[in-house]
Amino acid sequence: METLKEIFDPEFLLRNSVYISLLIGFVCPLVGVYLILRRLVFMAVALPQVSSCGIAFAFALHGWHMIPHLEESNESGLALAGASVFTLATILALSFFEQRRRGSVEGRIGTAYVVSGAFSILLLLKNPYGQHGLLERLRGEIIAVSNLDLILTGVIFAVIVAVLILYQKELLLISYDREMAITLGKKAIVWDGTLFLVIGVTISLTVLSVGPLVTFGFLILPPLIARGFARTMKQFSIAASVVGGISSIVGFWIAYRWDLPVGPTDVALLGALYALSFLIKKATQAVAGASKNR
Amino acid sequence: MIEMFQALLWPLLTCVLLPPLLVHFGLQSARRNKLFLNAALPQAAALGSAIAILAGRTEGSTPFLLSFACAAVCGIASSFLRRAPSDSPAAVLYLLCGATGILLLSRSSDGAEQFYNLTVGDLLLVNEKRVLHAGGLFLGLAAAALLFRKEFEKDEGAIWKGLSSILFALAVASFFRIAGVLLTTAVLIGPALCGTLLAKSPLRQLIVGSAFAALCGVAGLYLTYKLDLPAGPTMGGLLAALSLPIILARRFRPTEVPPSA
Repeated sequence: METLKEIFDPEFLLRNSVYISLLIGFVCPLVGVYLILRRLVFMAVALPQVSSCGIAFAFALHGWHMIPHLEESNESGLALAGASVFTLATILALSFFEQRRRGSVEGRIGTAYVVSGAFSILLLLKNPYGQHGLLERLRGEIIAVSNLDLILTGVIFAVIVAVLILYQKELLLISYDREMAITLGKKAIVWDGTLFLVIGVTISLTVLSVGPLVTFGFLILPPLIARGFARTMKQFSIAASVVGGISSIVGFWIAYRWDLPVGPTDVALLGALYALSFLIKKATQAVAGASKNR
Repeated sequence: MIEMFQALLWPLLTCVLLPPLLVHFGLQSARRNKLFLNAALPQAAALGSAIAILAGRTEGSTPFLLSFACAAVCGIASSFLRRAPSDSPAAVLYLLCGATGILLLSRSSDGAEQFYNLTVGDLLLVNEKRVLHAGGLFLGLAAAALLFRKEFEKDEGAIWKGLSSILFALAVASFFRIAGVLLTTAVLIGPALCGTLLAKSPLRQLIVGSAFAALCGVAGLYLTYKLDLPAGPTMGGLLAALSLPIILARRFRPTEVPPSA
């Protein structure tokens, strides 16, 4: 309890990390719900990796003296720009290839995953300037979060949540039943574009703070946990967001208490919750089946 | 050039002789729509190595056995769990293995370096003994895969599913010990994608995929030698990057008109 009080103290040294964990915990699952609905789980692992590659490329530009020396506050902007450009370009390319529905979607996403993973490391090795920070990012350390990063993330996430709430009906329809949406006169390309933009920006921002593995964890695990118990889409989204938010705080507390890296602790906690929810669901089904047979 | 081949003889043999079996397993996963397993198994093998590092047992067969055990558990769990929504069991296992591996390595004094080594591997340091060991194991696994190919293709029954997962885990754990997470994942995904795009029959897919893996392996080693780059990411990047022109070529190929009745 003492640790929890310390974490929420306004004077706590790592308070920005706590706040950003909370933001990521609540917002990422809301976006992840759509990735689960569209059966794009592999995309949720590939896009954060692509985003990391974008960050590595942005730092490499700096290392190669192609852009002038930047102050620390501008470095975040540079990294965000790299992450966003790479992520959105990949989403565009994958959507373009999907139009003709030829070949394996998963194969293309897998290729993007491997290419970006390999080039992240090559760029990192050839750029001693960004080497340390990027390696930390790949491992999911959430330590140094500036006030500017926190405000920027907060504002953009607020816009994302607003878009998801305001256009929930359209985004759900296009994700769940595309043909029906087109029949009802919805412009598929506009809503697909909006959703992919939301996904791309969320992933870019999250990877910037917590790295690819943790981003993937918060996108996928809370919705998978909530899916087993939710009856409506509204319940599904809210439950996923609550699970993500609470896990981020509990994970931070565990990591701080036992001196562990925050991101992987969050993911391990979510994994344990997933296993627990899976067992509860199976037990409930077994009990329901037994009482039906009687 | 000859000097390069002399210096990199064993890495070169590793890149040419070992990938065909991994390409076979990569194609098998792709046919079963379980491509995510190709990313999850190397991550599970890395978790096994992280456990060995934490236990201070980095020598002998312990790291390999732990890597194999973790990969086998991951493969078996993934093949028996229901697959809805797409690949979610493999995704969860991938995440759990990745996060647990990092958590374990954070307890080690040189965890960051170990994390990097597990990702990138040490292909250039491979020696005659390791290649022969891995080659012998791969020969045995290939014989088993060939002998029971009909049963494995059906993917039915607990015993065959389990046995198939164990063979896959053995191949991944063995290659991972030499090449690291990144290159193992690349060898499982890139050539399988090329094989399925360029050929129709399973045998041709295997031949095309293996040839592609060997070509990228040799080219990657050449680049590594010439440009002083790390072997794993260079070859992994090449394997995946060279798949892109093939995907593009397929994308812009004119649609076949079905013959009229």
